Amino acid sequence: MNIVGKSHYFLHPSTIWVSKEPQWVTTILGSCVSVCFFDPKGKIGGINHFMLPYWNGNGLESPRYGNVAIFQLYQKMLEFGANKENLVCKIFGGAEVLGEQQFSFNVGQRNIELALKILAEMDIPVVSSSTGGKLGRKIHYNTGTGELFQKYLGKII
Amino acid sequence: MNSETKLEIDLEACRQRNSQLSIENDELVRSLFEVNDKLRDSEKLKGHFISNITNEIVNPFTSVLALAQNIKQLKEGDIVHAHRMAEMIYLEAFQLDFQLKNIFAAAQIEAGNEEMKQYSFRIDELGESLGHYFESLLAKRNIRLSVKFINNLNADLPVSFVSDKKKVDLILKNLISNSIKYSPENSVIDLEFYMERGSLVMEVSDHGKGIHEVDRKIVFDRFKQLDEKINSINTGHGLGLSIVQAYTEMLGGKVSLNDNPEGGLKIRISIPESDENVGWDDLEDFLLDSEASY
Repeated sequence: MNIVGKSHYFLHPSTIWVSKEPQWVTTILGSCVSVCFFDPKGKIGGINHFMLPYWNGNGLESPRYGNVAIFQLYQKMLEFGANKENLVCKIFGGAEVLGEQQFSFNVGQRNIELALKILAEMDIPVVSSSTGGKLGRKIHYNTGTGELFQKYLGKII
Repeated sequence: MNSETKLEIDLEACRQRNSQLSIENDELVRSLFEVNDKLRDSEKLKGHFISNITNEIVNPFTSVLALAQNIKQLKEGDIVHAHRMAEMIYLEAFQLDFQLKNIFAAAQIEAGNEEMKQYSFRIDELGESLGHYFESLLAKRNIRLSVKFINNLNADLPVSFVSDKKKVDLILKNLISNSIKYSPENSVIDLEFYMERGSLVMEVSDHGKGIHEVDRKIVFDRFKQLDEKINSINTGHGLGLSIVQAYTEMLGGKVSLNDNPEGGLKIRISIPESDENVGWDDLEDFLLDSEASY
């Protein structure tokens, strides 16, 4: 498949991307998690990139936190015209790559658990996922087709 | 190995796991208490909100209106008064503009709409523009902003750095605005730039009252102001440092608060250089996920 050279958007941590136009979005995940929503009928896709599971009042209430990021992405999908009944989702990331003490409690694992829990509550099916492990991931997501390419990153990020 | 020793090993493993769980449990309970406190604070905040808005937005506007009216009524040739009042209008409007920039920045961060615009810029220009930006505010309180490029950053030698300049700029503006607010009159604020292992380090030191060790964790929370009384020093919405932290993290950097050895606060920001372009790779070595098509 040849899509090299197509313009793509690099999604930074703590941000969200939703578009109606087909767009390749790239992001790099370590212990962070990306939830990718797709409405196959409306051909609308969106992706977030969160770093920690819960916003607990520290700093700004931003999509750096899973509970904020998933809800915001969902809201934006609906604003862009996606239909809740059609929504499916894919989950990527959540590797255990951080060795720092402050993140000792399996932040990758907790990110994934949080995503699964919220998605189950929202009743949105998870059609595909690649989570956990020790390696970081680089993903390319096409918001117009729902296609998602993944590559493991050899080095620890 | 007989079964008894095996049991003992298992038991030991269980004990270890148990103590580990109990530590995790303590940690979780502690953070639950913290969240509880924050909830209480946020309830209080609602009460402060209206008076805060009045103080920060309505009052400056009232002053600007009144001052403009006064200028209109000045007699011809009274340029000295006109100058003075224009300066007052400028300062009020400056503060308003700065507050609004912060409010919009915080709103963008919270909405996840922040885009990164990374390009190469000159570090010396960044430093110089700050002195110019705060000129009136510094002059009013007779504070001097000393900008230094030290070690490997020689001022004679322009050094370029790739990052999101607007974000770095707002980070520094917030730090310096805070320092000016809490510095005594006739003091000096130091802003130092240097490079360390590929990162740009920026240190702002003032001679204010500093931040107590205990409070250092909470000052990054939004709307948090250590002194909650409404007064002329304590202006702003308590958004500054939460923006500083969020932007620094977006740029992959770190913020740390330290004591200034000469008394006061020293804030250190280090930001790694960004790649100007994050390239697209050939998809050959990528795996297409199993549910690629719908």
